[in-house]
Amino acid sequence: MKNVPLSTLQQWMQAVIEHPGSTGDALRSDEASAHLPPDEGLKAIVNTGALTPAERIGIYRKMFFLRMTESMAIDYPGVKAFLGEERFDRLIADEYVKQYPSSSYTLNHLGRYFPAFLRASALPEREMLADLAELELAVTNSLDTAEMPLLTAERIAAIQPEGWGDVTFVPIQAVSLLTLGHSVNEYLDAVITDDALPMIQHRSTHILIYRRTFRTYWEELTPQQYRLLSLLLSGMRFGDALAALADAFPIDASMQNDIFHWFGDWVGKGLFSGIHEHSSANNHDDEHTASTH
Amino acid sequence: MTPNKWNIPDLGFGVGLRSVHYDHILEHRPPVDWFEVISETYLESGGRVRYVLDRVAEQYPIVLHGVSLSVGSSDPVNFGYLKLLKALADRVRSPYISDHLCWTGVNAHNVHDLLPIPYTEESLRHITQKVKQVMEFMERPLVLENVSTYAQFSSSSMSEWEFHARLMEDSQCGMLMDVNNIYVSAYNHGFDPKEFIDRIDPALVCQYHLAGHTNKGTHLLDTHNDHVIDEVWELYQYAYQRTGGRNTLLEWDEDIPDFDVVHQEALKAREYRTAEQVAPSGPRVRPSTPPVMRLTPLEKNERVNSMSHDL
Repeated sequence: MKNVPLSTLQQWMQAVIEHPGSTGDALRSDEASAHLPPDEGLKAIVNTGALTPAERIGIYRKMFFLRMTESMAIDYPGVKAFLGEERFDRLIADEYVKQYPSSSYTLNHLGRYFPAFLRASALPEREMLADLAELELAVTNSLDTAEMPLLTAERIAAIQPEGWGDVTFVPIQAVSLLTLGHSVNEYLDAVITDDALPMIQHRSTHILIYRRTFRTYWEELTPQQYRLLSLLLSGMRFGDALAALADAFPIDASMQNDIFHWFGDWVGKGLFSGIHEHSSANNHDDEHTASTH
Repeated sequence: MTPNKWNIPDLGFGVGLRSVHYDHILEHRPPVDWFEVISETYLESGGRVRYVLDRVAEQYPIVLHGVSLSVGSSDPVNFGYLKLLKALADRVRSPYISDHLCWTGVNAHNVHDLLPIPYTEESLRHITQKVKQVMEFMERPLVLENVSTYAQFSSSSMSEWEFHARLMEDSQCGMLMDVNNIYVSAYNHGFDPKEFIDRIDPALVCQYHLAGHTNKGTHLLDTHNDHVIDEVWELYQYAYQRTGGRNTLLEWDEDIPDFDVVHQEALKAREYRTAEQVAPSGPRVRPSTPPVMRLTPLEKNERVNSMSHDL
């Protein structure tokens, strides 16, 4: 075979590599045939040695699907544990990479559409699996965010008591919150620690995901914790956030004490990188003290 | 010794930086001459991988080795990717960048494999143009590696080595000669590996790669999962006698053993640079079980460099 344009040959080969099923199926697929008919395609590969042309291109096909499934398994060990290896691999090879082929220079981006894919799928467990995948994607995303200096206890101690209502906090990049419909955090815990897998409950679950010294953690929050932390992470002034929390939940003396401990815990976990102190007399955007760094 | 065309200094015997060795390298600062890093792992990473890379770059020379340039693709050059690559090259002071003479996808897809190209006049013109664009943008030499291949195209009108030689002449890029890849492709396609080496101008060879592979009987797979076999060491010695001092790097990407095992394998290359007779291989060390690392997704890009022995 001579004079097959480079672009035609490459589009044909890519179509054969990406098509699920057998190599024969791939050669006969509409996607591949659109560029070269099956017999012409095989003639494009030199037929010498111990392997047939179909076996030669089959090596690339096998490696493609192995890479895709391995890559997704690294990012989604929980979904894989739930589905089992065979079902997970089939889902990735037969459906996901066909619908969402990699268009990035890195395999680290391959799984970014997996939660949406699962939620839109026909799987009977799709809502629960999509929740689990949302959590796993948030964990993966936290790995690549920039490291930031942390808010120190000394900096917090320097805030005057009358100034607390007007401070805002600068979150680290590697912190996020999720509200999911299933208790997938406990399931992922068990997968990572290789413990017995718990039943996943259908209940509203608030989860904090954060990275500290290059390790990513996740934990469940109460609705009150979630409400306050989400407001603080959004940049709301501390006093306004407390007022908003009080609008949603009654704050008694006990809860005031809880809030004190929550906040200390969040600072200790390194969720904040800095503080801005604002003057209540001025416009809310008028910052008069810079952050800690 | 034949100096290389770009006067790239001989950095010595390097090792591929892999995530399973991060802790060991930071803690022990092993006496490695230089590290090669898979560019794609570090382009936009801000977490642990960036921290480790910056620490390693403070202490060792680093050369960037990419797997997604896709210079052989009929798609145009991806300047968004190049912009990230240039910033990284500047940050770690990579004296040149390397990638592969291959394609990884078309129509903006990336199949994350090092796919073979047809050795035609059309391919040569197209790739020459892209290489020139890349080098102009990057403002540093581009060095392209010969890949292991499992298929050749009927439309090819010249040999792989002739294509390499003409591409380097037309585009002024250099060559990263992967001796193991020459051996693997020679086995898979039935050519003489020494003919490949003989037909490449030694002045255009800037670096060597060495790695292990897997013999599947009917074919060899470039798996980077074991020690370098004696025949590949001999081929390295044969090639090295033509070029003299060139950066030499050992790749180990699957079943990765302890760092010292990888480093010792790289240092074996010293024996083949000087010995008249081929030195015997060292003792085979059983690879340790890789640690479970959920925390860094690095191995994915590193594995694009090689095939799985599970195939």
